[in-house]
Amino acid sequence: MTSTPSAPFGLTYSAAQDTVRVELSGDLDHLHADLLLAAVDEVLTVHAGLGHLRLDCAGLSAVDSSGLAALLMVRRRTGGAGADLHLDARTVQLDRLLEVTGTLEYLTAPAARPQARRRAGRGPARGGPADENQSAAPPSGVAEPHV
Amino acid sequence: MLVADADAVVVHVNEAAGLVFPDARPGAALAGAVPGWLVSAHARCTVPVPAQRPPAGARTVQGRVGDRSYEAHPTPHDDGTVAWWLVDDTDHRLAREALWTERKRTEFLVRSSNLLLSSLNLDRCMDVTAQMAADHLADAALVIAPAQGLLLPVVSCVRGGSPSVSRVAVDPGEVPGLAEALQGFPPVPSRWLDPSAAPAWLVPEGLVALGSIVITPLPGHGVPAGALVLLRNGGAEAFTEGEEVFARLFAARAGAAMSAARLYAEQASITDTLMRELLPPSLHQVCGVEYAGGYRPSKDHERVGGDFYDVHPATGEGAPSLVVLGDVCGKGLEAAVMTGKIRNTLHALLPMADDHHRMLSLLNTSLLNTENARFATMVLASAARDGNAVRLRLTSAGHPAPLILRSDGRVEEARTKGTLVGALPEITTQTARVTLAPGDTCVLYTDGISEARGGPMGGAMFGEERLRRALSQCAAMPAEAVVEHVQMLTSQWVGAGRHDDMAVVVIAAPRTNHLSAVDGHTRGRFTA
Amino acid sequence: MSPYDTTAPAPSPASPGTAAPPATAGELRARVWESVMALDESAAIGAVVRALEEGMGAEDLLLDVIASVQRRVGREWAADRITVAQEHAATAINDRAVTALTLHPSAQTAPTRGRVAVACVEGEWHALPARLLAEVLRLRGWRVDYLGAQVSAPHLVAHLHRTGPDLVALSGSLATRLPAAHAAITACQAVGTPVLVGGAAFGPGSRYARLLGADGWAPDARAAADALARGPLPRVRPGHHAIDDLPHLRDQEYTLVARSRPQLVGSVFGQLADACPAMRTYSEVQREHTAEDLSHIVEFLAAALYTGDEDLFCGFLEWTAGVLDARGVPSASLRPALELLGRELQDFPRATAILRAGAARLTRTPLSPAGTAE
Repeated sequence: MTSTPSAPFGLTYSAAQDTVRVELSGDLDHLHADLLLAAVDEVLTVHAGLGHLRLDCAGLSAVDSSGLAALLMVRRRTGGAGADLHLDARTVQLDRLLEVTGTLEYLTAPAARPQARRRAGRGPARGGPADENQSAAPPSGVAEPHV
Repeated sequence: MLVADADAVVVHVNEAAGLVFPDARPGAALAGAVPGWLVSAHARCTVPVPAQRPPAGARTVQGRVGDRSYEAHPTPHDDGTVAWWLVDDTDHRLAREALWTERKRTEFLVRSSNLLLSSLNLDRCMDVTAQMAADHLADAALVIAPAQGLLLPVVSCVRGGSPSVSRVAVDPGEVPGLAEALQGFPPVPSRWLDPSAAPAWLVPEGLVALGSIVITPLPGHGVPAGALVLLRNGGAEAFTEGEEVFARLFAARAGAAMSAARLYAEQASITDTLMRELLPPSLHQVCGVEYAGGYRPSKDHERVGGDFYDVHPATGEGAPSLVVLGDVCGKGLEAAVMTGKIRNTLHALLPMADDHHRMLSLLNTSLLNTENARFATMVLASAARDGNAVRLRLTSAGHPAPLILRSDGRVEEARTKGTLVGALPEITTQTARVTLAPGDTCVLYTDGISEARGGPMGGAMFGEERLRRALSQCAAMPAEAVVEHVQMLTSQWVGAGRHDDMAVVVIAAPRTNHLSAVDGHTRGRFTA
Repeated sequence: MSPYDTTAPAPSPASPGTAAPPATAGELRARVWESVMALDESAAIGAVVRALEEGMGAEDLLLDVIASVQRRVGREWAADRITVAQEHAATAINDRAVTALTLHPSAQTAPTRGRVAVACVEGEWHALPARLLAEVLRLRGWRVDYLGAQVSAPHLVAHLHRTGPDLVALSGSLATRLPAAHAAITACQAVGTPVLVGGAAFGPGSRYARLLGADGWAPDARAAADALARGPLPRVRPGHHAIDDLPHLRDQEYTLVARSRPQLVGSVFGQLADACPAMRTYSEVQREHTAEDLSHIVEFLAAALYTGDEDLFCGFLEWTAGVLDARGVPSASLRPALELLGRELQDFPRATAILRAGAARLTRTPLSPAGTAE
């Protein structure tokens, strides 16, 4: 039977002014997550005072939970260095993953600006009664957004 | 050389033959002078035959003379006499016999090794040891394992019989040499036992009269494996030194196999205890709500994986039970440790289960650490029976939203979403309230199900759409049938390919059978 | 159609105060069938439990009522008279009825005999026959470990090492799982435990049970229990090599076909779509069904290569033709698929011979009337 082997993961950099662009390709999975983190650490060391780290995700074929954990660590590091993280050209699957896990807003929120931090911590902006998953019976409940 | 004529009368004897057969002199009858085997060989040789070829009986024969053995080669002559050329083959024969014995023994050792090594079950190893020993080394054999409490496990077997197992409450010290052999260390030699000193339990039924007993330790790998007792009938020959050495070789193999089996059993029981903690519970009906769960671990890290589920039953009638289904990032032992931590923490937080957000926030804080962003996603479901319906509160923490399967086959997604736990400083959640009418079910699953890869042409994702389609076929099925159907479809989808952990939990409002009469078998319901 | 028909007269309902005569197995079957089709679990369970209390033997209830109803579920599905969902629901209710029976105080037996492990072949999801056997053996005084559906060979062997049963009873209904069954049989024998097999996969008769070197075979649960009651199966000899059973596997055709199944299906599917304009109008679900059907064909071909028995493949085709016919799908659509598959596998002499035999059988045999396939 065919199993799907991990596609080779690749990184290419380009730097301009206060921005470093990293193109990602292949599978960002438990076999390759550490590579990304090491690369980002190096970028942040070499380019002290970096303003923006742009990860170009167009070439990513699959991101698993370890890959997402690596992205979350990248966000911590860029946040700590005062740089903004951008996830550019996200694939449909990546968007779906970030959407389901509720991490999109956190990952792409600008770094180190107090009001932005607060925004990252806010719940989804859905107010009012949400639809009930109920068929025939009269709706009685509401969704409960939390902060 | 000895020559005799057709009437079996000795004609000539040379000096060497004279030394072997002192009574054989010319003129003497062959019958009185040489052993029977040679007399009859001569008779066969001298049968008159019409044809000119040598008689059919003119073949080399073998036989004993005293404690030596000889080959006798015949040369028939035209005058009807036969010259017998005698060759002493005693040494040759002994060597051949030794070789044959050696071959038999090697064969036996190889066979016992095969039998013993194929099982890691201690009882089976003891059975095999007793039976092999009884059939090949003695008239009966006992295998005695080190005491379990006050009882000594004993397997006994008589030749040609089948092993019988017993536990005897005796002091091994009563049998000289047995206690030492059972200790395993220091090594002790085999020991002869006076048959009259043997206690009754040591002698299996079926032995005629006890002749000799030898006790041989079964050496383990640093752990005591037990003792082998070999018994022979009174009439049989006693054990030779060679046989005793051979018995020790066999005992070494049996002991090694038994100690390996013992270690395996200990290991397996430790693993079992751990697994009971880590593996999902089997589910059933709790407080009027049906639950069923299925879990198929990834083969990459057999059994302890990153998916988990638990049902915490309600504390009182009408109060909600809490179901948790989750998926921990990563694989192997680290994931298992985090799974354990999450399950324990949630258990401790049960008193605040009426507030999913608070529960998840506290869990999030307890999992946060600086070294990594290892996280978990999960769904909390609080379920309480309300009349015939079941009221649910569902909260996803970064997890695929539960699917609601209505009894008419419609499939809806519960409107809940939230952030994963363990990686972000704060989390957000949105809880959905859902009412299950009788026959409705709520399906919680991990992405191992929706992202299973395979299909008839390989490489395709099972996907949420296919899952919804599959569920719509499951309308009105009992909870465990829904679980099994989903498991079956996804397992068939991945075939022999690799897959992640796959967990699914179904919460169902039991069907009510309005049309059933009290006696439970009203006719015509089917056609109604 | 059968003695279990729902149209069979049912006894008049019991009136309060007067005890109705105990139901016969036939009446009970009709009643349980009705309840199961109505998804009326409590009625189904109530009927069997009452029969038990009225004195019918638990073993007879399990085998002559529940197992019989379950067989009928399979027949009705094949004839397209019930849906997959109904089939699953009926199975689940039957399973619960088994539980209810075996938990009943009058169906308890203390273990007096040896220990038996009952398991389904890996990939086998039809667990009810194995479950019924487990319960029958328990009723007859065996100590039974029921391991359930789809047990992998490593799990089975780990269980044997730990519990050392006298015997493994292995159940399988799908011929495509025969290679997995062979692996399990070999693994059990290698640790010195004899294996009794049963289920539709191993037949007709005991054909594949013998081929795969099982130590025993039984046509049904009752026969299996009787066989075990007669005495222990002989312990198997060590040093036996599974490959000796199936020397034809040396040509690797099985391995290559089984391994490349997705690619074969993909390739044949593409060509079929080119050759058959009607397929272009298929919906996504229909296309998927077609791909699944092709996948089944290749699986059965692989099983025929494994067993070296083209009858296995031909039998499958006949059965499929019957099932398709019952659903109004022309079974003639099978032939182009066989032809394309034959072209893909032209370098495999055994595979092409099997495919040719299958195509010939489809041409020769009039379709079996739907519903008689079992």
